[in-house]
Amino acid sequence: MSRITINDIQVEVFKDATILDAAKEVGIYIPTLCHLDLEQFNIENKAGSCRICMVDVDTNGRKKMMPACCTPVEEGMVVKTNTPEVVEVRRTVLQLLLSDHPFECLTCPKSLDCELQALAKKFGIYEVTCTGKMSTYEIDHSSKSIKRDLSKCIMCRRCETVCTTMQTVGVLSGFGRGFKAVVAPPEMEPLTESVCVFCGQCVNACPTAALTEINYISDVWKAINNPNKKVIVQTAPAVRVGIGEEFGLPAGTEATGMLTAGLRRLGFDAVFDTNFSADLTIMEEAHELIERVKKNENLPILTSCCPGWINFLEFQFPELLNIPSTCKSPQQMFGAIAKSYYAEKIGVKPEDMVVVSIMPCLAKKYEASREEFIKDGITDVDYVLTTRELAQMLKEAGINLDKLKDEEYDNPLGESSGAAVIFGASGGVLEAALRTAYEWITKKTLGNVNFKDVRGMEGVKEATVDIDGLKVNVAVTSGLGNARKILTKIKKGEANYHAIEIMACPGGCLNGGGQPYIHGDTSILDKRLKAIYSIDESKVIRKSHENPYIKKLYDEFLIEPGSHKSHDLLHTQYFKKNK
Amino acid sequence: MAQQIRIALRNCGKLDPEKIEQYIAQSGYLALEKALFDNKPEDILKLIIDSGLRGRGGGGFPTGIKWQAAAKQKSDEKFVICNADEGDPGAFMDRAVLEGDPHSVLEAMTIAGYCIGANKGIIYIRAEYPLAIERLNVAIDQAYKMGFLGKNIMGTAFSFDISIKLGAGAFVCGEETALIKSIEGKRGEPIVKPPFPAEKGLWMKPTIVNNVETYASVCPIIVNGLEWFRGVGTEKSPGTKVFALAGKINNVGLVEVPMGSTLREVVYEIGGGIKDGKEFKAVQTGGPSGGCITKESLDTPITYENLIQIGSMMGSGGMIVLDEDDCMVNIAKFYLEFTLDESCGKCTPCRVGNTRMFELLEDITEGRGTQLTITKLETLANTIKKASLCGLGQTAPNPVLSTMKYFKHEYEEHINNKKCRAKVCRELLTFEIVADKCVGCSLCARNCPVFCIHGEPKTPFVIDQKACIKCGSCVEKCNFDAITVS
Amino acid sequence: MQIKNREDLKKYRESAIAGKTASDKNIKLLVGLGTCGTAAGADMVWAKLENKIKSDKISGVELVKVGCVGYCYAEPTVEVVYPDGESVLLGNIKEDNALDVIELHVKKKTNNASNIIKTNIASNIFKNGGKK
Ligand SMILES: Cc1cc2nc3c(=O)[nH]c(=O)nc-3n(C[C@H](O)[C@H](O)[C@H](O)COP(=O)(O)O)c2cc1C
Ligand code: SF4
Ligand code: SF4
Ligand code: SF4
Ligand code: SF4
Ligand code: SF4
Repeated sequence: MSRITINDIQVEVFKDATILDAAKEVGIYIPTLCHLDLEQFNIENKAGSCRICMVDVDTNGRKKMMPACCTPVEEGMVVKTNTPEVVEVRRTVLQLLLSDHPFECLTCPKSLDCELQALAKKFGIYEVTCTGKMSTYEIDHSSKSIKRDLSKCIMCRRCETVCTTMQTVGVLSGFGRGFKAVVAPPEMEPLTESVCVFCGQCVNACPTAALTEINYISDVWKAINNPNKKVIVQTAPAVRVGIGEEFGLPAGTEATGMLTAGLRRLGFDAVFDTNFSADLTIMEEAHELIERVKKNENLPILTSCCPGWINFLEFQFPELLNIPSTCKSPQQMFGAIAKSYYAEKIGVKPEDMVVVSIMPCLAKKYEASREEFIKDGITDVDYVLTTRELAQMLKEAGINLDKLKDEEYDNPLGESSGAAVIFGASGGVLEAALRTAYEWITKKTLGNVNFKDVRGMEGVKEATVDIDGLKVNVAVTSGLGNARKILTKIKKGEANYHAIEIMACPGGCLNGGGQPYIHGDTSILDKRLKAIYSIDESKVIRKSHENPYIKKLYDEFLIEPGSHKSHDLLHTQYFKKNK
Repeated sequence: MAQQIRIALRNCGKLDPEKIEQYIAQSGYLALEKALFDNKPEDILKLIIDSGLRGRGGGGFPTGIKWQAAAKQKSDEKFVICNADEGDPGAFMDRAVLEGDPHSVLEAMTIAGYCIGANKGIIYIRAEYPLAIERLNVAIDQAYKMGFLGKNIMGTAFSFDISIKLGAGAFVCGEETALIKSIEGKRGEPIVKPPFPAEKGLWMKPTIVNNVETYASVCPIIVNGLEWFRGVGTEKSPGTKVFALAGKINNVGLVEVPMGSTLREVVYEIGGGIKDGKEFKAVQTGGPSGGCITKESLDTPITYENLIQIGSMMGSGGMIVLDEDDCMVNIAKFYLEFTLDESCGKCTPCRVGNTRMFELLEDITEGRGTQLTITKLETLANTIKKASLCGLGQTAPNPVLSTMKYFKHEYEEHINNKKCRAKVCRELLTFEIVADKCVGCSLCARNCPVFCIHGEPKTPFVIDQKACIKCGSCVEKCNFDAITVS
Repeated sequence: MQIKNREDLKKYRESAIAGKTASDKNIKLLVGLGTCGTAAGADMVWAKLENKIKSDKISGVELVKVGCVGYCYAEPTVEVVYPDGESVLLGNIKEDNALDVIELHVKKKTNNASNIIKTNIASNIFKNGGKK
């Protein structure tokens, strides 16, 4: 422990704490911008590059201004956070940042969600006193997922830390020198030329609008307003526990009913649930799992519902392409069933049907455009909006989600079990699969459906499940850095698992690249997590194979899991991508 | 008459750098012998601390203290790095040492390794120094063959390896943390200190980084003892410093003088005075991080502290001599432009702030300056110095601040009278044809790129001041000296 | 040779010093062949001197390649060190006046040639001259 003095207040903190930590301890606010502490995931951006958090430090007589976010405390340090000098330096630094920043707040996608804008407001900057040349760059629209506008990059390096340290993908890093320095893919190539997996974690980390999602709102409006199209919508599990935040509801609010009501107000012809196809995924995946475990071949089986992680596999571990489940993700399964089974049922031609997904995810935007998911010119899914974009649409339409009365999903693609909703959290897919696999293997009823060992925010979780004497070793990882660890083990033949769930986003989809911004407050994720499991808890049906509409789908259309038809519609394959 | 005393350059120009036997005949590897056979690492450490040797790479940090900090760390691996990046414009003392006496650096690095408990040394040298690299390679080869490097040096338990790492030549890679990142194969960009390299350096292991000249000064201390070393130079800055004299001075080149010598001694007695009998104006020391020293300070003893006190710094030892033909605003602009080009762009004050300062200086030299420009420069300089992440940014405003302090009148002339007395800032010049001298040959008019000189042949021509772009081609062309510049 | 202990080093040093003492009996021409010297044409000077010494079979003269001495303004430089320890440092030695070095400073000892920058530059800073 070290004792230091901040603004005449004594505080005792751990030895490796920073001045910022110590200040928080005693309730002293120090502004920060480049600093990002994803405490839950042990990831901290300590670039010390923005210089907004400068404070006066006297260490045994040595006086210097230091950045609070990355200066470790030292016994006897005397810190002043608010001297006129400090304030002047901070204001000048902010002025400098603003002097090389486009004044586009009014039309900026990040407006009111922007940390730079918030800081300018907080500092009371009403005039930019220094002016001069500005950085201009071509906007990178190359991908389906992420828009890069480097003229708004403030070199905080958060995206770099997230992409390189947390995700170990390493696409984004410092490029160029001096005034022209930016954070970009190698050689300033567009994202599509890089090994980016479109997890969107960088977008979540970016304090400004330098990184945002590619926005499809106007396309969706057009589709809705087109009388010749049947426009249906699906909502991913994690959306319902995030969207409330956009409307001022406390984090962790279960907004399923409001969400369906809101979507109906927007004018969708039918409001369905990706949870339905999550149940369907379990039918197919549990079937595949049992087949492979029975034959004891090609193990472990890896889940395949996260397109971010599938991209990662295709780039980084092409030698393991055969081990993931061949199941499409729930989003794609939904589209495939909607444009076949459902279209037939309601007598609409697939080409006249538009499937919109609301996803917590940016990789899903890319996924929807994969060639494998386009058959005879018909795409499984037409447009993917993020949770944030949906909130934007609702606001545009003047719909206050928080004021709406709960409504139910439409049928036949709206009913789901508790096993489906937990897809939104890391560990959920595996738990759902276990619930079904257990009963199918043992032909007995599973009493306690809660597999708590695989829940929670840790990056790597392991458990051994006893299925009637059969010891099934499972692992769950989230965050691609953790995925890399496990995949490397598998590659070296050191892993002894039967099934592994992998999610690209740390904590799973509830922390996806399309969710409302948390600005580094990972406690929000805990609340979303709790909400997901409480929805599961509240369901009467908690096993996918007990979903009556799923049973009906097989009876009427697919016949059985692994059937020819399901292979045709619900399964896919993976391809090596060149680095 | 002031004398040079050569410690770091003791063998340069005296022996064949590719012949190890010549080095050994000149007390080479005697210091290593003494260290390994007669002393414990602590003894040598104490000697270096007591000698008062300070880093010659810029900051003047006490070398022994740095080594001690690394020696104290417990670690399975430690590193000794020699900083031969030498990016300061006009400095080439490190190159001279490496080309002329490479073994002196290898020997000192080995001793440093022995002191701090490191077994690996790395010389980070800019790729633009092919000859130095070649000679280092020859020397390293020889040292390995003879057992001065490698496993069990001279049969002792101590082992030490040295390898060379080529730098891409960015100035900021000379900053020690950026240098370490660069060796690690990452973007050469400084990181926040603390932790200092002595605690967490290369690959997060304790590491010392010292300058070439610092290493070159180590062995004589061990051979001759600390009284001898402290007998040269001053109490707080013992020993010598190598300077690279450049600019408007007769004897351009390297000089090594005792610390505490005065600028007058260096410029006039050793450097042979100002070129072409012009008037001395100032000396810029410390390169882009330093400031100017004026006539008034010619007799100030050159020490780390004194230079800082008069608003400059020792830096790596570049000394650019300026005369009456140099415009101080322009000099400040020149250095700031260098810094702009070399900034890594990581932190806000340096990336944006120095760009803004440069633009303000441009305003002044191009006639747009006002008093507010000066105020803005001062505010920016203050923030950039205090808030920049590394030494490059922290010192970048120095040339501006020091010229503003000592040559305020030149700034004011630029701003108030729109005049540049050194006639350097083109935008502030007026080109005029003296009617008496003009014979009306029309040569100037025909060479003016914007055709703004008018007149009838055989009568005096006139320059249209509003249209003149101040290119100066008329002055060059006139055969009758009829065009004045003011 | 590989130095395996202190004795080895002592022996080696003695022989190195003996070698130096022997070569000190020659007139030594130290040609500055650092980057700056080379850029100014010191290579050419070296070649000229070498040829001349060979062709005229001048004995008692030794050419030594050395690093930069610091007199950039006068590159290329040649320092002539005589057996008696005296020396002259000559600057601005180019191809055309390279042979003057031999004529004026080897064949005789001219102390007032225009190229002389300095005479008798102190060489060894070690108190005991390197002996132990
Ligand atoms: C921008 C910048 C450039 C530097 N360049 C060099 C350099 O080229 N050579 C050098 O020895 N030190 C350079 N330094 C200083 C080093 O960071 C470090 O302090 C030095 O190598 C320590 O060695 P010393 O204590 O022996 O001087 C530079 C510092 C800064 C901030
Ligand atoms: S990124 Fe922020 S500060 Fe910049 S224009 Fe957008 S909202 Fe405004
Ligand atoms: S989307 Fe993911 S992989 Fe792509 S740049 Fe961002 S963090 Fe990296
Ligand atoms: S893109 Fe965004 S997160 Fe990345 S460095 Fe720029 S401002 Fe920071
Ligand atoms: S974890 Fe979820 S949100 Fe993140 S990339 Fe995968 S599917 Fe998308
Ligand atoms: S001060 Fe300049 S060179 Fe140093 S880290 Fe900041 S931007 Fe880079």
